[in-house]
Amino acid sequence: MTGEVLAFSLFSAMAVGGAGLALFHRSAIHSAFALLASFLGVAGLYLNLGADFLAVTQVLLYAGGILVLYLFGLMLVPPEGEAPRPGRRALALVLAAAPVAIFLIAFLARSSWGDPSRLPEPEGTVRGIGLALLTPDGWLVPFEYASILLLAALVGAVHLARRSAPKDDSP
Amino acid sequence: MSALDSLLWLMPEAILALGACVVLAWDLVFKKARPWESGAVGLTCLAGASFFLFQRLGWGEADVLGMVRVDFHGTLFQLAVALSAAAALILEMADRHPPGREGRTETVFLLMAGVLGAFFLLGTWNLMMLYLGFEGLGLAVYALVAVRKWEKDSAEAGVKALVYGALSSGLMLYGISLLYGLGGSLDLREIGLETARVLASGHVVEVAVPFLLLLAGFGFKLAFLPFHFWAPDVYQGSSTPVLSFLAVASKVAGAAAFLRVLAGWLAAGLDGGLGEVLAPTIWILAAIAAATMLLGSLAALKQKNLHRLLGWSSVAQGGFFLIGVALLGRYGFEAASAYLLVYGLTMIGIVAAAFFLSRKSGGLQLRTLRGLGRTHPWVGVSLVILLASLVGLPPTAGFFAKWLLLVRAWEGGLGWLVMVAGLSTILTLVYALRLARPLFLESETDRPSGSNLWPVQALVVGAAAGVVALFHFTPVLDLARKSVESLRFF
Repeated sequence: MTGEVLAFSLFSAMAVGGAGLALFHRSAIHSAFALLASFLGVAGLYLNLGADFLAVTQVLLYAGGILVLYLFGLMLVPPEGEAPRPGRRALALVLAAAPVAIFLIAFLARSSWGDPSRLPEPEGTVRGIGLALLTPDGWLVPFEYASILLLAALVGAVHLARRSAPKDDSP
Repeated sequence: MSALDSLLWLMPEAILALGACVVLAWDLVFKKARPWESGAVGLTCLAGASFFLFQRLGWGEADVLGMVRVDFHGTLFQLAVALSAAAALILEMADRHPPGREGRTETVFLLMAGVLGAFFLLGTWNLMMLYLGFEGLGLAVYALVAVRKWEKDSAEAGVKALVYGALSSGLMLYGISLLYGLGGSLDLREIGLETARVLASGHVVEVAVPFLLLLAGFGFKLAFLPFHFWAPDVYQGSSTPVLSFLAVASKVAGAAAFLRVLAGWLAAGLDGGLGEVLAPTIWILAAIAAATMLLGSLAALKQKNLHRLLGWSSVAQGGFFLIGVALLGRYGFEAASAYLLVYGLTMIGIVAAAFFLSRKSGGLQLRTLRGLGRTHPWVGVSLVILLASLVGLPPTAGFFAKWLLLVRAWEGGLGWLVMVAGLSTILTLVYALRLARPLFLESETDRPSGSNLWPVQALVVGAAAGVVALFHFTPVLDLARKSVESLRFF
């Protein structure tokens, strides 16, 4: 039990602290890395709750995919001119978001959560998902078809992004 | 059913999936490949898939591999989609890409991927599979519209299609998730039974919201009001072969899937004596049908660009199809299915004729078509016949298709809708005449005679002959009846 509490505190500190740092830090690159810490913290929270697949997806998609996209964007398009002072704007954003946070906390505090000791032990979901995806009578067809769908999207994207072939290629 | 049996049932899908990959690899393996070769591979695969689909029509019904549904309705419209995609592919192969063959292989691959998406869209009761197919077809269409990226219109049209398409499919996905919550299953048949129970207990909003959200998704695909904005611009910006795919294959697939969704989902309620609760649905659909027909035909009247005219015309035809859907019953669905089949054949011919004429005249403006009917009488006369079918004049299949729709609407108590449809038919006649008239006027300029494009000519003449032959309407009616019966919720 104490291990769980310890892990929970650690991961939530990572998630909240990373988010705060991302908001308030002066450098955009540092903010992006702080966001990475926040994403990993959230993944840890999922893991703590026994949602292993969700945790892996969180790392793959957010930390591995979306954040890398942010970083590429930041590095390819350097900010021009005087950077706005982040402190004041972030403060305004926090103030604007505060009512939502208060509402959510109040809402969560009102709900009754039952007795935690009666909850079943979490079991791993990866195995179940993997079996479901590859069982012929399960999700095999959509799973396989999704790969062709993504291939089509990829071909379209590559064709549109590719530089035109030299003119002498014409017959 | 063993895995091998399932593969036999899914032969058309398997052929297309493998064929698409072969097309993609063709130019890499054979460095000296001619531009038309990948198209020929694609055409062969479509022919093979069509052959197996034709066989499958007689095989009865089965749930294959859990989520794929094989029945007459699905297979019939899959066949229609495969054939219309083959027509689009023939146009694509007859077309020339200005800078070399850039984009040819991609176009062929994307066409095949789109057809595969349409196959899964049409052949399932499962909402997950349906959505995947819907997206697969949509993604292929977005890319196809923009495939001639060197033309400014094309890129703009691609962005428009993508933005509208993504918005509407997002709305539809939200509707699907609500349906999953409502029915506790992704299978439309089970959701239908649960929906009937929910409706019987007086909860209407829970059904109305997903209904409207699904309407947004299919509304985009069929371009009916108020989701039609993209259609004229996208039709204008895409090349004629892609327009053929958009106006026929994509539209027929979306329309037939819409029939299946409504049949599976709401028909259980209709059977259970919930006609009164579902009456607003009928009114909504009828109002959309009326507005779509009128706006489409009115807007088509003053178009000067051939593609734009076809775009608005296709919007209007979607409205006619919706008349049958709005009746939410067996006879309405039969009429709608028959109309869809005839519309597909007619539109294949018209777009092929438009392709031929615009390549001969070197422009997409109506006035550049002057005199082409005199110099190319076969295509000119065939186009007139096809336009007659579009309007619904005898002796063409279009006459009975429209007649049947109007009769069913009249019997269903939607007399005002019949009036609107009549008015819209007159407008259709006017813009069809505007399209046909310059063909037989004296030409002002002499044109250089290029290649004779015989496959395209054959396509136009063949479609016209088919439309006339199907004036003997019984086979179409039989197909439509069998297809609606196989949805079996009536």
